[in-house]
Amino acid sequence: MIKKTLSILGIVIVLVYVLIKAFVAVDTTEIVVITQFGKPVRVVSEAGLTVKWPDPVQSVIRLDKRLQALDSNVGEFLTQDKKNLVLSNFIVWRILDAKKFIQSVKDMSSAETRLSDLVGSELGMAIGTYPLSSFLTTDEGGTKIPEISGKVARASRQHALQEFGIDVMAVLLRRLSFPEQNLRSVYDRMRAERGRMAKKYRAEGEEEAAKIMTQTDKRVREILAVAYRESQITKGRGDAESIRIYAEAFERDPDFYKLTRTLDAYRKFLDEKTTLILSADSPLFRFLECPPEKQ
Amino acid sequence: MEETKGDLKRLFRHARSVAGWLIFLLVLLYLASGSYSVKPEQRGVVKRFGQVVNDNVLPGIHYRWPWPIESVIRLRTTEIRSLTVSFGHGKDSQEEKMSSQEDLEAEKPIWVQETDRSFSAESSQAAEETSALLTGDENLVITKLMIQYMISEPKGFLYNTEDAEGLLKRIVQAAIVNKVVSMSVDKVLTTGRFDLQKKVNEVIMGASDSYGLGIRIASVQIKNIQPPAGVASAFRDLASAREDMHKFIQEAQGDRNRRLPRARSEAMKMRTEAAAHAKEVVEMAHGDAQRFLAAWEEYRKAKTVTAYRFYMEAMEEILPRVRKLISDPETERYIRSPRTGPSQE
Repeated sequence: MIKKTLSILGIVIVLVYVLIKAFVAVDTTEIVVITQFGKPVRVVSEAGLTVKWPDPVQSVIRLDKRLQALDSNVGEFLTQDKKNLVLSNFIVWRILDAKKFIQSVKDMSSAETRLSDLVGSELGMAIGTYPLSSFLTTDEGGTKIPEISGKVARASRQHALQEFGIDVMAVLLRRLSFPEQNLRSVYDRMRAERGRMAKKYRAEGEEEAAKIMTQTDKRVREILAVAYRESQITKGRGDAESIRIYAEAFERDPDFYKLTRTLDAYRKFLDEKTTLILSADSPLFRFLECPPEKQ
Repeated sequence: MEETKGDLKRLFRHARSVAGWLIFLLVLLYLASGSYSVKPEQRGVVKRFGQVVNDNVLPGIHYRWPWPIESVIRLRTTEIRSLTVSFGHGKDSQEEKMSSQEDLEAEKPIWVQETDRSFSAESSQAAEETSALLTGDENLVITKLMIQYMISEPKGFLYNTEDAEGLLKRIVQAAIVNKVVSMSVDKVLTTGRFDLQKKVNEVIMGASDSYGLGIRIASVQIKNIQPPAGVASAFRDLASAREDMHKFIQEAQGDRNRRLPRARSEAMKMRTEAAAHAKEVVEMAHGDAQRFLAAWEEYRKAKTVTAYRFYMEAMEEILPRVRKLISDPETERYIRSPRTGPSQE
């Protein structure tokens, strides 16, 4: 009785094990490769439940089928005109042919190493055929970087698909710079350039200011000179008019004018400091010694 | 022996009924474990044996088949996420990376192999973030961008890429590098900001479509874009030189604006004074002439007397204040007496 129960229990356990091992849940992010005694026999890329022979007859290898972004290490490359460029790029890739992937590179980390090497060499080759001005430019046409990385991506895709079952979707540059020792001279040049421009701006400002100042001077002097001329003319006209008026009046009787004018002048210039020597027979004293009755 | 066997049998029968209840209860509990709730800010994605069967479970209480048949992942979709990308800002401004792991409240089925392959980028990032951007005219600039986005398709965000945020960040970096290498430093620092922003936006939208990132861009903001610290002072000096230039010119213009009106007012004053002078001398002449003529009119009537009176009045006025010597021509012949009277006719 107990023996029977135990044997039933044993069979149930084995059945459950077989059932569990026979069913494989494939995640939406995965490709599952089913191997039979180590040899890949089937690739399942649709998510959901699938069946296989239980272990140890068939087992599964799970691979990530999502897009991967792989950073490549910073590397120095030489352009056609022998300039050093420091680049780092990243590769957008995914596993396309799972069987080939397993047979050639086996796991993700070795895939990354191989892919990185492949893209690195393609990139080096591509960069060597372009001058620096294809990368850094202010021309209308713009940089050739998209063209170059497109070329590299195409070449890498072909190789990677054939050799590793990997689909390279893009190779993009995320850093482009000069080597450390060259950067110093870039900094120096930037400083010098800015310094030169600063000097130029200041000099231009001073020049323009001086121009404005001298123009102002000129204008001011012009204004004052014109005003002087006009005021002198006005004054002259007034003077002329007054001379005419005086002359006209005085012409009527020059003797009377002379008389009054001379007397006025005497009043002015004969002051306390003057000593007058008067002759006794001056008309002033006519009546002094001989009163008029006597005449 | 028989006794113990009977006891066992009783115990077994008793245990069977208890076990029956227990199993029933366990099954009930197991079935109940399939209920779950989605919070208002979340959306759920339900997978059955790894296959996505519903990628947009709305907030509320829901039921799924219990483990290991179905599982659910909840994702905050309504919140705006931000991603900072910086060039040349050094370690201190390392992006505050929002770990996507935190946002995923995932129930991980045990059969899903952990593909937790974190990028070796974390360590190399610190070094790489310090590198400034090269511009088309071989100058360097440093910049910091903030990108805000939302998850528009939870399924795509979760399952199309291994790390959607990581890929997004790299795409943004590539877009910035590609754009800045074809701009001059002056353009980058002035009018180019807008272009750069636009370009990044375009590239993200394109990449989001072609790689199925499952995100929607809310905004791309350039937080700052400036020359590196080593040359910042030179750039600042250039900016102040530009200001100086304007200042010099403005000062000169200010000087002109002060001096010209002053000169004009002075000119006006001169003209007015001249006019006043002219008027004055003419009026005075008129006055003098009138006076002269009026006096002359009367003088004519009694010439001798008036002339004599004029003369004497003048003498009266003058002689008291001057020193006088009176000489007698008889005794001091050598003294020429000055003519003191009206001119001798």
